Amino acid sequence: MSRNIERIFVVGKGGHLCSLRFAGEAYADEEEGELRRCLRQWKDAEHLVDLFLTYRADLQGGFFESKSIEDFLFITEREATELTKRIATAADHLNTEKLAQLFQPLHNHETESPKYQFLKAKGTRSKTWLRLYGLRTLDDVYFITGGAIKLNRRMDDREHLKEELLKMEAARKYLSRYLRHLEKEPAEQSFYEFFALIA
Amino acid sequence: MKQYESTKEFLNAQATPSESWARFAEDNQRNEQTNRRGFQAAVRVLLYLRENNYSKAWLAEQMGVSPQYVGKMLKGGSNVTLATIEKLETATGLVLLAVPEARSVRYRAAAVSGSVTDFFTKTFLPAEQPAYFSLA
Repeated sequence: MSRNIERIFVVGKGGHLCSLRFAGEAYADEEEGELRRCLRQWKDAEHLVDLFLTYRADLQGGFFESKSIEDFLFITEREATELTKRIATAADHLNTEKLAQLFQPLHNHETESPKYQFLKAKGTRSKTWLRLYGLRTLDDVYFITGGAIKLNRRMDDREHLKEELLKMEAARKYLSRYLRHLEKEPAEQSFYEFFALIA
Repeated sequence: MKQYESTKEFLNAQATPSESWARFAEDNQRNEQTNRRGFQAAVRVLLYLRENNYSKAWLAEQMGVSPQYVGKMLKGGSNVTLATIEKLETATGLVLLAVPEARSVRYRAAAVSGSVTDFFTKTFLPAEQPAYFSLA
């Protein structure tokens, strides 16, 4: 995959959530970006059957409760439906309060707020395997860069998860070329300009 | 390359509002139960096919329909008729649609509270599904 960003879609009425579309990725139609692609595929029986049979060994690794493949698939669809509802609600809000509740820093225990913070949103169960990935700019706009079904602990253990990390980094580089206000060091900015960014 | 002074300004110039997202979110909300039933039936059929090394073309032949129709049906993109479900059940030997006995309906209805949709879901969807591809 090229990891070149082809289009940016603003999702919902709030104007704070965006979905990126990468060149070379298989999308259902011209208007589909990463957010809808992930949520659609998580309710696509054929896609999920193939994926869960491929990663069957991960399901038996002891992290998840013992379930049949069918159970894993049914839970995935229910969680995807619920996550879609939550995102739709958050995306329509004029403030980012609900988005902030849905997304958390990619790396657990991360506390600082860099100019571009890598994020993840999880499914609704405690041991959920659904992940949406993205980043948030310091002025509070969320960009969805992709998502995955994560059945193992580390992201660098599986090719499809490594790819998600690369997509996040590609998005950060892409945005940093356009967003001059975030590229300035705080010392270069006027007090009021900097205050506006962090307020 | 033009640079922008805020992310909002950048979005105004470079991003497109997603019209299709609203349709997707509405379908997710409005057709939740229908979509779920279609998904669950498709999963059961697909696992049966994989377990027995059958292709979708094989299934289409058994059902007397086109492979394209089978593909569409298993994607959940087709509102199937009772006759089609019967053909699917005959071809695979799976039970995809069953009405529980009256006694069972009354028993479970008594335990159900909530909307009419919940009532039908909880009443007619088996609480415990048979497990194919058991991990045990």
